[in-house]
Amino acid sequence: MFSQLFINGLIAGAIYALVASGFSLIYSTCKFIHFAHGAVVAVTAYILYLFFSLLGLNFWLAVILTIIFAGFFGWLINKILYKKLRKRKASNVILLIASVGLLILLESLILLFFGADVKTIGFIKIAKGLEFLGAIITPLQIVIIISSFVLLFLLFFFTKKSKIGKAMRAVADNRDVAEIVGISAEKMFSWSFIIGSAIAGIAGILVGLEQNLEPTMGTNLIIKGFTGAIIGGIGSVPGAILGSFLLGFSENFGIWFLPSGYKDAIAFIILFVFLLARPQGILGRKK
Amino acid sequence: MSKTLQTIIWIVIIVVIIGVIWYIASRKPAEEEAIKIGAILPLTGKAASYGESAKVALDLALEEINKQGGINGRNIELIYEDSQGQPQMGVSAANKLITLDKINIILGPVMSSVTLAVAPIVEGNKVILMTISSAPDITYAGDYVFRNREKTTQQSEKMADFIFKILEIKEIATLYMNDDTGKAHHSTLVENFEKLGGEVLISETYNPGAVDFRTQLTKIKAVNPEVIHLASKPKDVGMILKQAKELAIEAQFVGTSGSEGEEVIELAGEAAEGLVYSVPSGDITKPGVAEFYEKYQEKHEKGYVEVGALFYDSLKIITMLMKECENPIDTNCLKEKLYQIKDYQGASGKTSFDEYGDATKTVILKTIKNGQFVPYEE
Repeated sequence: MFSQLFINGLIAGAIYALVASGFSLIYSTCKFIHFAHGAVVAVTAYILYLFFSLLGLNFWLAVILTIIFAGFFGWLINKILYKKLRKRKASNVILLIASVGLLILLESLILLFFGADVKTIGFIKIAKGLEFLGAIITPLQIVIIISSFVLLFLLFFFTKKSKIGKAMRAVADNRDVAEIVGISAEKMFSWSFIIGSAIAGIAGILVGLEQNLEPTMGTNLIIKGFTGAIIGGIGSVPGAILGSFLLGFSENFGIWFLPSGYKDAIAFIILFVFLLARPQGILGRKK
Repeated sequence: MSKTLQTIIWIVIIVVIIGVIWYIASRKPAEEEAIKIGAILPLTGKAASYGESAKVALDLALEEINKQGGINGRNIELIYEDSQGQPQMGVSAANKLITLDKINIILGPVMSSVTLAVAPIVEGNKVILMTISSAPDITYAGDYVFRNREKTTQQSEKMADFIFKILEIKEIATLYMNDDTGKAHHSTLVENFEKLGGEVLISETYNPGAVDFRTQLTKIKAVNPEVIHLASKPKDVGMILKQAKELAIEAQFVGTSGSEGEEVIELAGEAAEGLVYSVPSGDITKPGVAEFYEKYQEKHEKGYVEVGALFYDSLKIITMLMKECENPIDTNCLKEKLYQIKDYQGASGKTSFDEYGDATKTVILKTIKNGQFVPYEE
């Protein structure tokens, strides 16, 4: 049973990590909590459903279009909502409230356009998973786990090596100094939204295939992704991914011993423990 | 956005608002005032698909009643309120219906938690509530609270009998949703099954909204039961069956009426085949049932026809009694007559009310065969 629970934890952790990484990337640059990130994941999952199941496009074409759409959608959110608010010198609390409002708005729009019932993308046939060291895992779940690891490395190199990544870190570190040396902070905010949301697009596709689509899926995802990001260190993308896996493991191993109704309780107890004992998270830096 | 564009948008918005007000104001008032009946349903939120199904059926019943002349020439009017499946929203909806719309009869709510929250309000105002929630506590929720739905124990008895006597299996595992309905189905099944001499090897639970059941299923798989009982709702049943198949669990799955819904087949596909579940009536060989199913599916293909049938019957029974009472909105008279309903043959099968206001219905077993919900044959 251990190996199966380990795999279960790995799958759950990978899903949380997919959500947490984009969320954390946006937070680290823009320094506010973009709760609507969960709804962006949900919207992109529905967009894939629209392209693939309703319009009948080729699956891989639909996937690429969905990821492009997700990046564009993130850029649009930043441009028409957050940028306007920042221009008016809105505080981070106001941005946070706006993001919660946007989360609810987007979920309601999904409900309006697609209805309340669960949707399936239906690209993968349900079958018995593959045996792997005494545990069972489906090919899609392997893709999910690999994707989250690949993202971890790509994001790491992106922020450390690429020009935009470095500029984003500069803005994150000290906005004023970055602007003095000629980096446009607004431009970096846009980039962080485009990249963060494109990752949300990947998350939306994989989660949509694995867990199917519901209008309220975004809230559930962002709660767990947010918890993972806090545990790992909210400003740090690798930390967020690490925290997400830790969360996935503790939830699934926890209910090995405890009644399974305590699954969510375990997640939030860990959140509180971290907030009290190590608020900067595993990989976060102390201010 | 440029200034002129903004001005144009504002002008358009104002014109639309004026247009809407004009339209509402110019509608002709009804010739004789209609009798208002309230309906509290989860029209948005997680349980919205139940609410939608109920609304379609209620609109269908309403259309038929008014076409046949309403109640002594007076039309019936339904006022829908959205509970979002949440108790506090249900309470404010009930207060609004009673104080502002002055209604005397409320249909719904769907969710047990909402019904239990609304019950004291209707009881205090002597307003009749006709719910379809299944929590056992509703039995004692009040004199004016009726439940047009089989009692949970009816389903559990049938299922326990089926597992023990027909499948001849003595050891089972259970997985249930951690809410009033799931717990009620679970505990009554365990009680009935143990009374017969069976044993429950493991009981696992999950919280509403969960999508990952793998760890619960892993724990169940470890004790290797021959039958797994699910007290759940269609969306979750679908996900559970899918994940069970992926985890190579080969046990026979059985379930409650919460196993019937298109989502089960949509989510689980072939993994749903062979699931056996109990369901109140739904015997489409009986008069009224097949007819309703056809009419309903014409309007709403994907909804829960069982839920629709219950609401359809609720409205039909109430309006039937309204004609018998001198004053159609005299809730005392309606209440007394409701307690006397015996073997009413409607869209949801035969209905009788007991002295607690709970309905007794015929419960049958159904199964999933070739992607269809069909009566179970031994």
